[in-house]
Amino acid sequence: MNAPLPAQFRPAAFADGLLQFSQLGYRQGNHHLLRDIAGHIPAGSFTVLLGPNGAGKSTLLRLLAGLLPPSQGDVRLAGLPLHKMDPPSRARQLGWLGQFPAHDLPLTIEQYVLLGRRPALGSFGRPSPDDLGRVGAALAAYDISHLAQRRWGGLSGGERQRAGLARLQAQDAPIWLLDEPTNHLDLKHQAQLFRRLRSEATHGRTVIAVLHDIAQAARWADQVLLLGGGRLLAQGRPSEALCPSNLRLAYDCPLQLWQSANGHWHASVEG
Amino acid sequence: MPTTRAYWLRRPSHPARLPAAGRLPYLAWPTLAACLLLFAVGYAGDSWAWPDFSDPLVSGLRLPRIAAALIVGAAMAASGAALQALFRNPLADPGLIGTASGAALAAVAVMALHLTIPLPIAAFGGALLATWLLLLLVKLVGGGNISLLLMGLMLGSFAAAATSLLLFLSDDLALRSALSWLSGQLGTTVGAPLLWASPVALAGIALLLVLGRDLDCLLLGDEEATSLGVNVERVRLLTAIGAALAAGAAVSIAGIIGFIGMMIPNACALWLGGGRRQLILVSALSGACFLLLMDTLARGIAYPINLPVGLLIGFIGPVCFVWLLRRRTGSHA
Repeated sequence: MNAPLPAQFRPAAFADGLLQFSQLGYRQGNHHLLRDIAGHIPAGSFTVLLGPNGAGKSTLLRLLAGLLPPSQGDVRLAGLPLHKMDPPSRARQLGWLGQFPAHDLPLTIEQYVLLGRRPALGSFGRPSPDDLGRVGAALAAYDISHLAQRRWGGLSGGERQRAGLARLQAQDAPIWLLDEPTNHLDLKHQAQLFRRLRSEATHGRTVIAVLHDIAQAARWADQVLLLGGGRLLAQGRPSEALCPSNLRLAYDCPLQLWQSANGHWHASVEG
Repeated sequence: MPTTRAYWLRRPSHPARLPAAGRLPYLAWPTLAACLLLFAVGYAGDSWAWPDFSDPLVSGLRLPRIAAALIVGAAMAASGAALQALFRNPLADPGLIGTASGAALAAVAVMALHLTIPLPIAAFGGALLATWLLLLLVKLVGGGNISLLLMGLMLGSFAAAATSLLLFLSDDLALRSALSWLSGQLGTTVGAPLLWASPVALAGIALLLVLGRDLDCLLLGDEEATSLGVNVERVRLLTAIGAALAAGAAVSIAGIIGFIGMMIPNACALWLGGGRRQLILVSALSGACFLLLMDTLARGIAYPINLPVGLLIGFIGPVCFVWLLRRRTGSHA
């Protein structure tokens, strides 16, 4: 499952960050969605973007994925500006799972997950046994092997979300970007997903996710980027970045994050 | 309680299980197609006889007409299958983005103004011009997918208005020939124009087949497609060009024949599903057979009058479409 990553993406090679960004800004018309974002994502880390609705989390994730051109500054992947890479080579480095799965596809789940091999196969390549093996493994990893031959249209929201995760797994890019990957997932599959993301990061994959659940972020992430009003408010280890004063600043309401006796994190709104 | 609704409106009882079409043995379809072809070649409208290929009526008229039916059906269905993926909309077809209307406008202009340009060339040029205008407008306005669809609709209604104006201004003889061409007729284009349009249609279908996997990715959404390494803008442009080649050639042969571009790919997607490349190929084959069947019916149904096949499909199409829509919604319930 976790084949060793190419040497250039092993954690040691980018101690100061695989993805770096400075002075990053994004503007729509006269409306600044993001401004002056600076930071870095270390290789082999699990990073979570947190913040209230409209803080610019998804926009920042898109900028980091190279899906939007920044209006200011740039994102560098291993020193190269992202927007100068062509889509195929970017797709071999960055895997993306958006927030909204397609709702009408004539494909079976297996065919859908096989699209994750598009970066490796190009427009014409026939899937090799290796590709099909990866698809099978990805289906098994997210408990959807039994749905392999089912049509997309007959699936529930959670099953589609898991199929999307399996597609990302099959793509096997060294960096994963996920926009609210826990959408539609039940608690069991949420827990499985976090364990998997954690273990992928431990094996050298760089995982960046937008989440709403502060407690889960505190429990699983290596670092969090806390956004509010289009600015980066804090970056660092969850226990430090998610201190009460930062949370109050970001969410504009008194939030508390605390650890219970068994070591799990809980978040609650005061008062 | 026994249902009193018409059978084609009944919801499928097992939406997940597909009907037998997908599981029919592989040999059955080619055999059926061959029977249809043989029947069409030998069918004279009121009687059937074993085809005598030395008869000029068969070799000079009936065979080109059958070839035209096959090519037009394949081209319309294939471009519909590709455009439905491009627009992520099962209703898309060459008529919707103005391609067919552009071709019709050019052809009617030739007839009404008594220009000396050959009709097929004019129709084909109109289709390409409409597509080029569409892409230019979208580039100027921006906004991607939805904008492409809306601009296509606008362009289509503009071309339709211009066509009506030309018809209004034209004399009776031109009006009659233009109307009969607009209603979609096979068998009027034989010889050189047919030989010339066929490779163009095939080239368009081939281009769309090449784009198959990228169109699958496009169906997931622009962002997902980009993240899978697809150059979205380029695929969009190439698909529009491929569809214009195929549909323009088809319109230049047979005038406006609607419904095939929308109905056949939807039916294929419903029954067989699968990747877009397979879907385009299957749609092309089924579209060819469907149009041949309809044209053969059109030859016989009001014999000795040669009913335009476009008219016949205009009557049958909506019924099939309601049935199809019913099945679609049924399988999503």
